[in-house]
Formats: sequence, structure tokens, C-alpha cells
Amino acid sequence: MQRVKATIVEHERVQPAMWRMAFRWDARARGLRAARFLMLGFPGKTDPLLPRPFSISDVRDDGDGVVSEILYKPMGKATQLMTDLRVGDAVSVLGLLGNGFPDPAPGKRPVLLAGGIGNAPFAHHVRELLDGPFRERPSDVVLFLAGRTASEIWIQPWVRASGITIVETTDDGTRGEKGRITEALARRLPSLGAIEGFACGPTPMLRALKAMAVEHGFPCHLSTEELMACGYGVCNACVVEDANRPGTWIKSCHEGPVFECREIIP
Amino acid sequence: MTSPLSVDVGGVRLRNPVLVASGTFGAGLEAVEQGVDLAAIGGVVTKSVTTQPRAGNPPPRICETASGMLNSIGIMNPGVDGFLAEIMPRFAALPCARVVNVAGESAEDFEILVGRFDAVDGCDAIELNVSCPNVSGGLDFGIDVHLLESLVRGCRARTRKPLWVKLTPNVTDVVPLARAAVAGGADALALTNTFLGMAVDWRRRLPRLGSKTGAGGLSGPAIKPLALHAVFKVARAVDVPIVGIGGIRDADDAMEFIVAGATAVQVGTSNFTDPAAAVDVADQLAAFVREGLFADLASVRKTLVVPRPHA
Repeated sequence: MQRVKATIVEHERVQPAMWRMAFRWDARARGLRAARFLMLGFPGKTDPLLPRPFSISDVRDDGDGVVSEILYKPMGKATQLMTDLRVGDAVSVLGLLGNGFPDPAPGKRPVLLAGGIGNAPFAHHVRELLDGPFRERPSDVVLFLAGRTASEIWIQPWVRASGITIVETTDDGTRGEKGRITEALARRLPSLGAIEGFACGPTPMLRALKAMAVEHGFPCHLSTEELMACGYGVCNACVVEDANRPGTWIKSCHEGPVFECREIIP
Repeated sequence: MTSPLSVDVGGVRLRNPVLVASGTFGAGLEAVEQGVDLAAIGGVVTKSVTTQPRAGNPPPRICETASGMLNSIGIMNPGVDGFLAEIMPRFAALPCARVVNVAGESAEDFEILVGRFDAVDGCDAIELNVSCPNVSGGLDFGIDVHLLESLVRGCRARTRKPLWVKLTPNVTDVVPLARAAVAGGADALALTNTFLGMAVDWRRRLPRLGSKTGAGGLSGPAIKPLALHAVFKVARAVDVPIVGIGGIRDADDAMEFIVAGATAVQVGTSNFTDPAAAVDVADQLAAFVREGLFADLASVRKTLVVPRPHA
């Protein structure tokens, strides 16, 4: 049994269509890095049959041990079912899987780009940066939170209080700046200096960010999310197109989920 | 027979009857990365190897259905040269039986592939995929008794290694195909492959898979009764060992196939939910022996009786 059972210790709806679930499972002992993910399954069930991938959102010690947290948006059968789970229920967990975001390059300002539920990996990413090279200068870390509307914008409260720079945008202007994440980033590019992008969000957003990164010549790491069955490299379902060999495919779970944007055609 | 769970499948000795099915486990290397001890299972069957590299189908390649899943992966693989160079050395080092599954679009492809692997140490048996629904051409061999017998005979002439033939269930009756494969020289039969199916997004008027036909292969617990029935029928029609495949999740599932006539089983879709799924099935079988449910597999194989109260 490579999969282990983990008991849910916190579960709350943080926005109308966004949930936060924490379970007793030590992601730190399993090679924690922002944008690495786990496969969460449903013990004893055949429907839903397959586990689902979630990136680690945050990890902390609550006094009784390490607690790992995910964020999710109820969309399909499995995530709808997850909303019915209660504190004390068990989920099954396999992980951590995938590569995660690379360490920030020296001399570049990390710009974290979250679209909708693509906010999931960034609380921990902020923690890594603030525990590491940006301890003394948290405001150099810039986090863009984008959504179609105000209710799609959320980040853990401690992140808001951490001193990093946060920019919010919504397509409909109900919160933050009105417009796309790329527009808000474009307005700030002249003042940000040399940047390195770290992005997670819907595929059209990743595609637009790649175009921008190529045009302006900054590195940008994309955390992809594709339909996957296994998460550890055997089902060959979760493929993204290889930019170096168009028409061929790379496994997102095993070679990714994070790719420098020039490596793939999102 | 040294161990109560060891079996011989057409000349391949397995420490226990639990293998992993082609296309659901790579060549075992990713599970090893996850810490799975493959010395606990009978063997690994590789994802299909083809003569040329195949990029596979455009996504979406899977769709979950009720207690099952559809796939249209399209045999994404590096081709025989890439497989032999990049994967075979590590595959050959696995501590269990190593079965290479090959797929071709022509009889010549199959014969070339069988000939290549005949010469390779560390390949204990060759399984012919005459039944993948996702490759044009391949399916024809699996649904025509004459083509199939001739294909197997041609492959038989190219190897002295054990030759297994994996049959498609997408036929009216699998029994004549099973007989044809045996007549052609198969040492064992593996059944079944996936069942052709489709999932539809009616609001968008689109199939949920990205394959050219919109269709894919159904696997998982949903197909177990269908596969079990196919194994039951074939076991009464041929004398070679049968490897049962279809929705096996635990040792009870495995035993259902064994009493229906299978000598061994392959765990497929369950590998996606846990890289140690097959290990768990093998461990549970060992527990059955310890509990005294049966002495050895030979004593329970093909013991299923269909009562005939009016006979």
C-alpha cells in the first residue's frame, strides 16, 4: 500500500466555489516544494474511481503534528463529493508527486501569477520564498490574484499579512483592477525590473502568459493541470504538447507539472 | 510446485498469479520510483511496444465513467529501438517475470517485433496486443479468425520464448478467436482488453475523448462481469493457460477469475489508484492460503460449477 489514509482535521468553504481542506499528513517528509501535488482518493469507492490531483497549498504544525492543506473548487463528481466530507473522515493520499516550482533565480524578482483556483500552490510558495532568499525583503515578492469575479479571489489570511505585494484583478471589475492578469502585469513590467514568473491557472491564461514572457524576454514557469488517472507516470493521459517537437507529448505528472513556458505549447 | 501460489503460464514461471496489465504500469519503473517492491508480484507486462515511436492521441485521453474509465491513449511509446535503448536495461532488472507486449499495424510489424525481443535477455515472454482499439489496423487481427491464426503462426515461427496472445472482447463470440490463437501456436491467452465505448458531452455535442473516432476503451470494475464471462467461456474451449483481466481490485476478484478458469490475472486500472494495487492483491492471496481457504491454486482453478437443476 503506497497510498496512505489521512484524517481530515479542517474543512471549510472559503468562497462560494472554493474549499480549503487540511488533513493530518506530512508533506514535508515527502519532499515538499510548491506546485508538487498529491493524488487524493476515496477509500473503498469505485465511483468516483480515480484519485484526483491537488497541489499542496500550505503546511504547518498544529501542535499534534504536521497538517497539509489543499484548496479546491467543486467542479465534477469527485470534487462535489469532497464537499460532503467532514472533519474526522479519511481520504487516501499518494504523494508527493511531480517536480514543483524551481528555486528563484538570483537577481530576479519572483512574480507569482494565480488564476482562479490556480491560487492553490501559492501560499506555500510564498512561505518558501519568505523562509529563503526574500526573508528581509518580502515586498519584492509580487502575487497576482486573478479571477473572473470577486468570489474567485482568495488567499490564506497570513499571506495577506506577510508583507508581500499583492495585486488583484477581476474580469468584471468587482474586485481589484478590472481586466486580465496579463494586462495588470503589463502595466507593471516597466517598474518591476528583471522578473521571473511562476504561474498556475486556466490554460488560456498560461498561453497568454507564455506569449508575454516570450515577447518581453522573462523566464516564466507554468504549473499545468491536465486530466490524469494515476499521477505517477503510467497512464499517459495528462500530456502537454512539446514545444521542441510539436505533435509529440510530454507527461505533465511525471516530467512536470511545472514547465518553463518555452518547453511546452500550453 | 514449491509455493502454493506459484503458477506456470505457458512456460513462464510466476511466483504468484498476479501480474500488471499492459498500458497501466509503464514498464514498472515508475512504480519502483514510488517505492513499490515488485518482488511481491508475479510479473510486469509492458505498455505496448511498436516498430516506430508513437506520439499517441491528442488529449483528452481519458474520461472517468461509472465505476470505470475510457481511454484513447494511442500507444504512446518510444518504438522498439527507443525501448531497447532507454527502458529494457532497467526493465530486465525487475525482480519478477518480465513480459513485453508488442503491437503492430501489419503481420510484418508483429513478426519484426517478436523477432527483436526473441533475442533479448530479460524478456521472459512476449504478449501480442492484437486487440488495442486505439490503433487503426491492430483491431482487425483480433476479430478475424483466419487473420489471427496466421498472425500468431507467423510470430510463433520467430520466437521460442513463451508467446501470449491478448484478445479483444469486441467480438460477437471470443471463443473462435481463442481457438484460432491456440491453433496458431499461442502458449497462453490473456483476456480481455478494453471494451469499446464512448462518453459524450451532450451540451457541447462532442465526445469526451480526443480520439479520431470519439471512442475509447472501457476498463475498471465496470467491465469485470463481462471479462469474467469471457474467461469462463474460453477456459472451457481451449487447453492453454488463461490470464484473466478486467476490473480486478482485490484478491476476491482475482479468485473469481481463477475459479472461472484463469491460471493468472492481470491488475490494470487499479494501478492508477495505487502503484501497489497488484502487491496488495498478491498479499491478500497469500493471506487466503494462510487462512486455509485453499491449499494451492491448482486445487481451485476452474472449479466453478454452473448448477443445472433440470439436467
